[in-house]
Amino acid sequence: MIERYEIRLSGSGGQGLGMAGLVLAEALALEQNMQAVMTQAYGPEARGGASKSEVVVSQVDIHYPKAISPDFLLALNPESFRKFGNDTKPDALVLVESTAYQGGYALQTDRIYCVPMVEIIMKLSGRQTAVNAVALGVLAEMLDFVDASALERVMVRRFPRSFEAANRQAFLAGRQYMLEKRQEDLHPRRFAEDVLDSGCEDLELHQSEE
Amino acid sequence: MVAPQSAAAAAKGGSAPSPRGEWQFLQGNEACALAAVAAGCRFYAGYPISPSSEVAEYLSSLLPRCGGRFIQMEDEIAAMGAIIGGSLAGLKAMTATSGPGLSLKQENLGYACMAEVPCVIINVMRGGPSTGAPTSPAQGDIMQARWGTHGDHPTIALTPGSVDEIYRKTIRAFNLAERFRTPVQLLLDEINGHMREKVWVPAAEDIEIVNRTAPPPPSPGYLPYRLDNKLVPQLAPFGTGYRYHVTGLDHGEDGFPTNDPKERARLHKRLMDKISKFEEELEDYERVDVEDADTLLVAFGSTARSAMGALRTARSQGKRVGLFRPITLWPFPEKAFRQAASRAKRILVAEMNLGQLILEIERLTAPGQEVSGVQRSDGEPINPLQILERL
Repeated sequence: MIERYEIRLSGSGGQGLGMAGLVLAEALALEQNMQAVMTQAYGPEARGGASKSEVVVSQVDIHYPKAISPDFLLALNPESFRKFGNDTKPDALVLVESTAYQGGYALQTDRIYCVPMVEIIMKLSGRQTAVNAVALGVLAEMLDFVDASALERVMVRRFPRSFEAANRQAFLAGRQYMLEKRQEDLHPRRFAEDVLDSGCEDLELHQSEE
Repeated sequence: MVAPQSAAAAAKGGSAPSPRGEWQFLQGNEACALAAVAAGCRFYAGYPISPSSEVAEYLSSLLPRCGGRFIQMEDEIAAMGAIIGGSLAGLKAMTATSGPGLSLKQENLGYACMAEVPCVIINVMRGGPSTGAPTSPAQGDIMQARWGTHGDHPTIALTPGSVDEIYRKTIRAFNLAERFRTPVQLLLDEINGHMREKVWVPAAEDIEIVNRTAPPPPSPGYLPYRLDNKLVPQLAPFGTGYRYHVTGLDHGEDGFPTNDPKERARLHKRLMDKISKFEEELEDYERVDVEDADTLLVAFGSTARSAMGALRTARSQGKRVGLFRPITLWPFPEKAFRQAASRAKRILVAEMNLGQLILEIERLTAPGQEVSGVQRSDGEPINPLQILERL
């Protein structure tokens, strides 16, 4: 029974965080018959820098529609990780683009996954445009209440036909990466360390700047 | 989603969920645009303004596809003028704006009250004064909605909470405008205007639609403001064979200006009566856990969602807290509020401004009841914790 689970998707405005939030929330609300409310950054902060969308999920009525202290954080760039990471829950699940993890954060959680989402999409298509679909694929494997096929159905519905193949490939690549990693090690902390060994900085907690 | 309405509230303005229809996942402003078309709106004139612009954006795509007209006007004042013209020509008409735009529209809004022109004004509120903060949430237009235009005039204003309710109350706004031939304002805010959630979109045949009543056949002696035992006139659409005059001046049955004190007094009284005599029909509210509440929360729009969150936590801690949520904000549902507040020792009014609705609540409370506010105007929403710490 999920009473209230708060998901924040952050990155640079333009990386498709609004669309990712919409796909996730619509899949949960319409395909999985849960309650879901989606909000997103509005105004100048929706472009460049640190931008976000948020999805609150529940199996009962949702009153306050925004995240108060996220249970799940996606950060696709360093600015958003710095800006939106600090109010996450002590046991939050954090998914960071590997190149965005620069250390010096005041996060309490040790459940931090660094995943090279940009590298995955660049290898696949040579362009960053569907990095949000990669992120959704990774997320679908991290959150057990998210049904990957529901996300796929909404992606097909919400995007123009010409984007369908590219989005599906990106989504599957994100899922695939996580499925392979999971077989290696199910423990997130250890897993994060494994990944960090191959590029990210040390995961030790730092009391840092804001 | 805000908890289901009480049976009483559902009977008074909320519609029962229809069996036919489908769930859609919509943004608040998008739901408003879709509902407007479902209610029969076929004319939109507006000037884009944050945080309401998506209403115009969606309608610019929807209206031409259903035989309607969409016009982006040169400014807010002209947009209000255009919907008055569109409505007088017989179409259901609307505009969308925010606080600064509503300031500019006030003269023409008064004209629509005086000339009895049905129209709907969507106001996705922000703060102020002046341009304030265009992209931040606020509920700054509670009193502007009521008293923004000069002179004694009736006001109908609705404040939905959830996106589902935005859909239903947009339809109701059109129905009330047509029923009473008066402007109706729908007050949203940046939060519920922009958030997305599940909406029950009923099949067209299950939506209750009110249309303005048809006038008597054209004749040389046609009197547009002639009333037959009704308080609402039956104006003919312009261009359909009737010849008559419309003015913002005090006027008689023929629509021409008058200086006759009796006629003027009769007009002013009727304009007020046509709304005040139907307050029960207009009444629309939600009451939650008020029966034993010694602390009563009052909140509307998206702030009411935070209040509900705080109420649920407070109740789980054994505190006797209730909520009164006006959905029709003007005329304020006085009787229902007084009943809800009858046992309360403390009344806490939460609103995203520095104290507007609280003035109305203070007017309605009994001696000995303590009234205070949870107020915020920094562009951040009031969250449940802020309300909870005051309970």
